[in-house]
Amino acid sequence: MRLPARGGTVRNALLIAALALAQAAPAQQLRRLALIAGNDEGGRDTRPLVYATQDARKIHEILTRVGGVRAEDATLLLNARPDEVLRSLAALEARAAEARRRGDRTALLVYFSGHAKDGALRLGDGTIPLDALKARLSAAPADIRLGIFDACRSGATVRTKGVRKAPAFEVQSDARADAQGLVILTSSASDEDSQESDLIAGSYFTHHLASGLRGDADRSGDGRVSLSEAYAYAYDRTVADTAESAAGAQHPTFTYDLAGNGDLVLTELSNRPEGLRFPAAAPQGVYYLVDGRGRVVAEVWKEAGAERKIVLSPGKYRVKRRLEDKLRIGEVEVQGGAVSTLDESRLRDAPFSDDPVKGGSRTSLSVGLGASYQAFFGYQTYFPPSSALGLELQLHHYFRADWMLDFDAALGSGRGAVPLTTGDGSVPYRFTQLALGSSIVTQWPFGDVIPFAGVRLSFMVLGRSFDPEVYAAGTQVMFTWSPGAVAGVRWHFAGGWHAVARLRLQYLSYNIDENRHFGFGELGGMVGYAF
Amino acid sequence: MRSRIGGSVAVAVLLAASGCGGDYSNADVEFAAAVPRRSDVTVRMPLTSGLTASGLRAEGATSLAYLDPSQTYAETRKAADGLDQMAGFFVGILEAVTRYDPTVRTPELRVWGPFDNDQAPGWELQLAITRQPVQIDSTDPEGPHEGFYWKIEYKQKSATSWQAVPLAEGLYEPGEIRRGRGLVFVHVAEVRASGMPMDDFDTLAQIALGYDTRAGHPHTIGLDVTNEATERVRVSYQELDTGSGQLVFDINQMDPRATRLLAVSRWAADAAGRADLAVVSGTMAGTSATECWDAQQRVSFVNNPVEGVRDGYEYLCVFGAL
Repeated sequence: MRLPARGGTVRNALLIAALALAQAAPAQQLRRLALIAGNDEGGRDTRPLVYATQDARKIHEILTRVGGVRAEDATLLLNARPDEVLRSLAALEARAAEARRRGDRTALLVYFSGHAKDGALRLGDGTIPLDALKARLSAAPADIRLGIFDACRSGATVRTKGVRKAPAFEVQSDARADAQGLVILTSSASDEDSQESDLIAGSYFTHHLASGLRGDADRSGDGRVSLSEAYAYAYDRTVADTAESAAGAQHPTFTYDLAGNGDLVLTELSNRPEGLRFPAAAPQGVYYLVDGRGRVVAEVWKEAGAERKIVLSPGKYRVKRRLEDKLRIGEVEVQGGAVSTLDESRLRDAPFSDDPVKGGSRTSLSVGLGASYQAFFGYQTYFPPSSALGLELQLHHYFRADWMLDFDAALGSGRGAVPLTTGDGSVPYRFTQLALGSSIVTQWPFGDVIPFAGVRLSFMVLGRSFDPEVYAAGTQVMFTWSPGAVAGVRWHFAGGWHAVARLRLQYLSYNIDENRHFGFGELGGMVGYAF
Repeated sequence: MRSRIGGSVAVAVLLAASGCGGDYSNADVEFAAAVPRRSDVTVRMPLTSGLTASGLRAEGATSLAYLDPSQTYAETRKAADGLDQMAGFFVGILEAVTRYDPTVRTPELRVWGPFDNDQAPGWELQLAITRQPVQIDSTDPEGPHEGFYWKIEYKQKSATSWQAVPLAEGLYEPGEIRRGRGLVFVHVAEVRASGMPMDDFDTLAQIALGYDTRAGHPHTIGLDVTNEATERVRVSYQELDTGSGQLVFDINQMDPRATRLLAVSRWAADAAGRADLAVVSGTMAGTSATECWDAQQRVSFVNNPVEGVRDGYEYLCVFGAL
């Protein structure tokens, strides 16, 4: 049976099918084996993906935590070659066959996130034909075979999987039900792109599938997330999120034949009690749970008056709820073996620029005033130490999430003297400097403290003025480009206000009296406001 | 995203292609300090002595009497201006040129120019300064010191090479910044012979000038001017303590009455002064004259036997007889 790929009929058909499978077997009675692979690289004619391996890690974590897959039965392959994938699959098949011989019921799950093109999965420079993989899954010695493929072609403005227009990638193109116990999920229909998003730091499909598996898809409230629940959840969210994208709406597909075997429970929330509970009194809306690295680990669609619970690894998370004109953000800690409860009163209002999501999403702007002290490594008779005041303009999440494009202008001054090499004494002068720079930095948010590092290029105008009685020309000037590196820490201390401490190391080339190459360091601080 | 990065990189590359440069040079400061400033070769005094080579009194002066305005003062101002103009000729070139960036920079050489000579259309000038050992005082037992040699070269704009003898050249031995001693030679006759106009120098043949502005030494200027008739005037200026100073004139001329004159003019800080003149050789050899003036430049004492004038009181002179 093949479910249509679009519209509400998908969900209805799936639910009907699920109800018809009255002999559902308890998930814990299955021996579950999983092969999870993610490949950011798709070889020639493809652009590297950003989140494919991250998506694979996420699914691996969920399956081993609440998916009933023992750690030794889960194989995670990141950027692996096709032969490595097929070898690992063979090993799992052998293990499944052995389990069947012992009388166990078995389920084999294969998840892949990456590129696909011309009817084949792309793993770096190698490929695995989809037909062959499907046939392999069909014949696998497991009672239930589940394939989840998050892959397709490229799009326009949002990052998509694949690169150019090509024959449709289609995992399941016919509706023949000749593979007993075979289920295949795909992230998009045969003529669609699958899309990644910086906002959620992952692919839409895997992100929503993962959120559903963590518990948000448990609409029945029985503490289990079934395949049909997970798919329906992922379908709705993926279509909704991609409807307005330039690549067009993305419709996940579902193809299965589980006749006689019942619906498959993918995650058993009671397996691991730690997580976060959203009490019924919590305001409705979409909540994002962000880990310490700024990644969205789960998205929860909280309805008014309904309680929600999701499974999370122990750790600290930032909670974000987006309102029309601001964010509500806060921090929760999930401890091992315990379920924490979200306390709305501990959330605070914050501007959009304080978005804790690493994916940063939309570009935001901040400005700041700073001061710095600069010293050259040698050649101080030419370039004395100086202090400067500056203005900075920063575009956050500009090229991509957690990258920052910074424009700065600083005016500084100092005093120095030219020592005479022929004669005695020295000639005093006043040193001035104008620097116009631009930096690209990447950031690693840890709550309110955000370390950053990057590169900087500045255009410098260096000048000095003498007593005209001593040096008739009066002034000298030099202009040059100076590349360098910058590193520092930004601390958000109140609302949009933040303070920055940073160190710049720059290279300088001098070629007037002679060719010289040296560097200088600049220690600075800034107070800024993010809009 | 890619187009954003590409655009930014393109802009950066475009700007980087504009290169870097400027005139930010420590050595330029040193080289430019090797040429004399106007103040180095200007007599700093409230009064300059301007006794002419033609006689015992200034030309056109009337007979003097006690408390008359000092004619010596008036005429010497005019003479002092002439001396400053003489030094100012090449100093003006140096000042104008060194306001620009050098056109040649090597570790031991700076060249400014060429520049059009505004005083002589069709001619151009350039200044070259070389760092090299120099010896200002030929009697210095230590021999040459680290210093600079500079020259103002000239040529017709259509010419391919500079004249063999420069317009002016000099040596400089630096002490502290802008303090040192130097020699300057202006080759007026050679320049005139080459065809480049030298209107300001009339019949002069060569000017030699020495100056010493070293710390711990009195500021001195020595000027040695020769004209085409081989007449020669040597002027020595010394700035004394507390603003006083003196000028010594040693004049060799064709006038048979006084083929050699010696004149010494001294002044105090308040501008009161005294001038003594003696005819060393000529038909009037042995003749001398004295004039003293007060702080208001009025005659306080005058004794001029040639004019038959003696008036005032010698005890009012701020300096005694030599």
